[in-house]
Amino acid sequence: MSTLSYLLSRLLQIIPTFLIVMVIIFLLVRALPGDPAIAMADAKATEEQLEQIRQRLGLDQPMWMQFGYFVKNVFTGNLGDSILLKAPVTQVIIERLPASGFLTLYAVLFSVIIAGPLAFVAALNRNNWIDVSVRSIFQIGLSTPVFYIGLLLLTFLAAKLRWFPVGGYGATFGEHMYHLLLPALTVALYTSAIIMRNLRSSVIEVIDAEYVQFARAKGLPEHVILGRHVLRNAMISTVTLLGLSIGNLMSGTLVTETIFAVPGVGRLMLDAIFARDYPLIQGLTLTFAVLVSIIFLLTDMIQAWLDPRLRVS
Amino acid sequence: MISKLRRLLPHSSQLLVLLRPGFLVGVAILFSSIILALFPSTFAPFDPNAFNYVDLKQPPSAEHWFGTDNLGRDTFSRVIWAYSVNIQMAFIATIFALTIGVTVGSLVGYYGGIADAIFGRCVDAIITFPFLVLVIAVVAVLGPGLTNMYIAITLVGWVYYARLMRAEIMGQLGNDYAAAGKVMGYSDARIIFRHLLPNAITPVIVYWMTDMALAILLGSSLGYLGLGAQPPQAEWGVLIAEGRNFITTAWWLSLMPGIAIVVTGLGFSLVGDGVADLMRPRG
Amino acid sequence: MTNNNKSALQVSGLSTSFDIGGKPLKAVDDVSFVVEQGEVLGIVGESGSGKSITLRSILGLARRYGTVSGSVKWQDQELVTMPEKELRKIRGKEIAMIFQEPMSSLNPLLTVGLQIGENLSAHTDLDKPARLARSIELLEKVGIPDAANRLDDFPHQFSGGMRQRVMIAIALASNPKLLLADEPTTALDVTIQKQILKLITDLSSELGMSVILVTHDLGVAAQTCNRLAVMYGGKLVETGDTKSVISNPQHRYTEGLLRSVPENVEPRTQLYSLPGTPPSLANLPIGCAFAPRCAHATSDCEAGKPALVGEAHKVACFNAATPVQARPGVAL
Repeated sequence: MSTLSYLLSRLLQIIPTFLIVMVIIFLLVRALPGDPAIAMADAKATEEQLEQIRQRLGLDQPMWMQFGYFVKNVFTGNLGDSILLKAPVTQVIIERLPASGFLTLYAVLFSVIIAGPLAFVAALNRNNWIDVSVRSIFQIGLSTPVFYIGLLLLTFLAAKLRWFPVGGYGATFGEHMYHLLLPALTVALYTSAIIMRNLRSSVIEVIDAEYVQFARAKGLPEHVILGRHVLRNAMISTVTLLGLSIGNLMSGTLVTETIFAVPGVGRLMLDAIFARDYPLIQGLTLTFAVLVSIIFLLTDMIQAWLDPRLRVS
Repeated sequence: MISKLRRLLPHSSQLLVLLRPGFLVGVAILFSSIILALFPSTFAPFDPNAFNYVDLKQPPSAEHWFGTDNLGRDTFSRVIWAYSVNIQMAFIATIFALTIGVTVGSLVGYYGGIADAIFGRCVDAIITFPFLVLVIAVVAVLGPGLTNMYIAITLVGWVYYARLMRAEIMGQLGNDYAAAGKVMGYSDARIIFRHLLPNAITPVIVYWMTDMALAILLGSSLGYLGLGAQPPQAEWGVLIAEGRNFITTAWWLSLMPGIAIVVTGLGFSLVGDGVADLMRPRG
Repeated sequence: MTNNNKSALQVSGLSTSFDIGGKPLKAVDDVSFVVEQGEVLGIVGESGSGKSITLRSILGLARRYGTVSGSVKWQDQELVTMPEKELRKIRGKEIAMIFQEPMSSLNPLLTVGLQIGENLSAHTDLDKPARLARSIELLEKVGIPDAANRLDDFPHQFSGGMRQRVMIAIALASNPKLLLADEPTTALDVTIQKQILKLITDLSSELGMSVILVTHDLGVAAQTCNRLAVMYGGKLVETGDTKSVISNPQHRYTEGLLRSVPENVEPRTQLYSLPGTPPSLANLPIGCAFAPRCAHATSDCEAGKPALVGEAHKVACFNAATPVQARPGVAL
């Protein structure tokens, strides 16, 4: 099966889910008491502005046609105006996405760097004190709430010791790396605990596998066995887990953006919810749905790339 | 070769799992947490809400083990009293989700068909979103507060239990005894609840233990954000939020409740791991 | 002690034990045999008799899991105590091994070409084009059609029999002098079995390569091997020329195995099977491991284990079919 047809078939699978999400969002706004146009508008909106909104949403039309308008608006990027920020929702979201994206990627990078080597070390030293200490540290990490870690890092490394700035985003790439280091570390701590556990047990499972024994029987040097045979095979389930944990990552990002005042979509969502800014909530929800679906798709593709057995149609 | 050898292990070693230090520590933590949650007044030296305008923002001392806050309240007592709320959280936030999830999951897994197809799409739609975001959204609609928080978590969380239960039930259906039940003319309900469920429930129980630890994390996060328990109620997340403004000068206000969260969460997950090891088939 | 200059492999008193949950498990108990150059030796026994672990102990694959003692001499080098680094130079190069399940023994994520190639990289100085050529040559030698195009295929794209051939190709890559074959045909269809066995014996005579073939199927062993060694409960109970062992079995177990092979049996007669079940290696009796199932067991048999005695045809039994005169000083 060619890559293109695989991609298309996976995209087709996402569509029903996405449709349901759109329906739910659509109905939620309509379910709010009162005139949907008022809900979607600033409290101080003029009658003229309200009329514009009614037009855009097609409120005078039957429900199913309204949904049609809704879908059309979504696909043309017309998501209305944010009540809170008084700017088009689409624009606001696009402005804030880079910071969150940067933070997420940074956090994933840290997670892998922290969890990867330690998982190997723990697996190869199974059940001795090294293994137990590594697992204990990560177990504590799993029990620690993200906001707590963030708060502690912020207080001690930024506010008190002044090694890092107290939040924000910075202007250049270098500044981004600097400002987002603590936030990325905060999100990474939890994620790396999840990865470490999975990778460790994968490595343990793989290292006694028949094909590793066979590789040893071939007289291959140990670094080839570990690097080529063990790592690749152990990695697969962990990569999948990482992809599926994107929801978890996003939750962590949301909280972290709040604590470190990072101008990303996570914090935006929180602000929007508190302010009852429905156009923004709606837009952000759709954005999340799209992003997560893309990540799931990417995860599938990476899995297939890593494991040739999955490529059979 | 190795697995062949491991199958020769005697059965009694299964119970040895329970004697492992990790599990015992977890049980100890859980046990003491529950005691503290049930009898806070026995263990808290001070009234958690008593203002004391003399000893404001005192660091930890012999009299105030965890120091005092900006209103003179004893932090140690507040952390102890918070056990009631947070431990309660672990159970209430999970048990309803579990009940609903197990019921729906069993029915959907057993009957399959259209119900299953719809269920699948619903699950996909909900899981697409970060759990925290959904819960916050629901709480935003309902308004902040502990009860609304429980409703929100249950509303979102049942899906995970249902999905797990469905998978287990479908796995069990492949076993012969399920078909045997049908042949013998048992009612569907009887088959589901008396035969399939007891076998399928084990992974759900294991997940439940992990979920309780997660519930405490989630609940305290919401408390911190002002969406769960409300100040002046003593709840760990709330306490941390209250201490945030004084964190550089009175660090103990936020640090101590956080340690309580970590320790308690650890207790639940250690016990959960032990139970998981016990339930896991050998070999 | 017989010291045969021509013998390629000399195993003396090889014992391997594992510590499972505190209890020691003796999988291989004082096993001794010799493999001559170019000969095919068959080690026959039921599952759990310790035969696979014997092979792995020879190559040093068992010592990371358990304790291996005794002596394995390969061309005047002692393998049991050899450090891992040097042992790697012998593995895959002078002594090669193939496993039972080709689906789980080949790395599913790597191409067949790569898995052959890494053997060549580790043991030869061939450059990339030379390795490629040799890989194609090897696949052709084991009978895989369209070899050049199949180098980039993955293990799951081959059928069971083909996968086993690929394993053999990998094993042969660096021209080993001894091939250890651990039940290479057990997981295959009967018709494919014959093909693979023929391949192995053909390669053996063509390349002058010795083979130790481990199998539970006495019929298979009888057809392919020059000499047989029967294993039970971790010990060798009978060894000798195939003709001699098959026509004149000394040990009651070997007798039983032969009777179980359904050849020249009248239609609709009940097939014979040995009564009882093989012992668990963790719960071996003090005496002869076969005694509980043996119709000819005496009190001697429960008291202690008999030693392997005899000349060319050896047996370990207090009540062998044709009693062998044990001469003092003759151990092997």
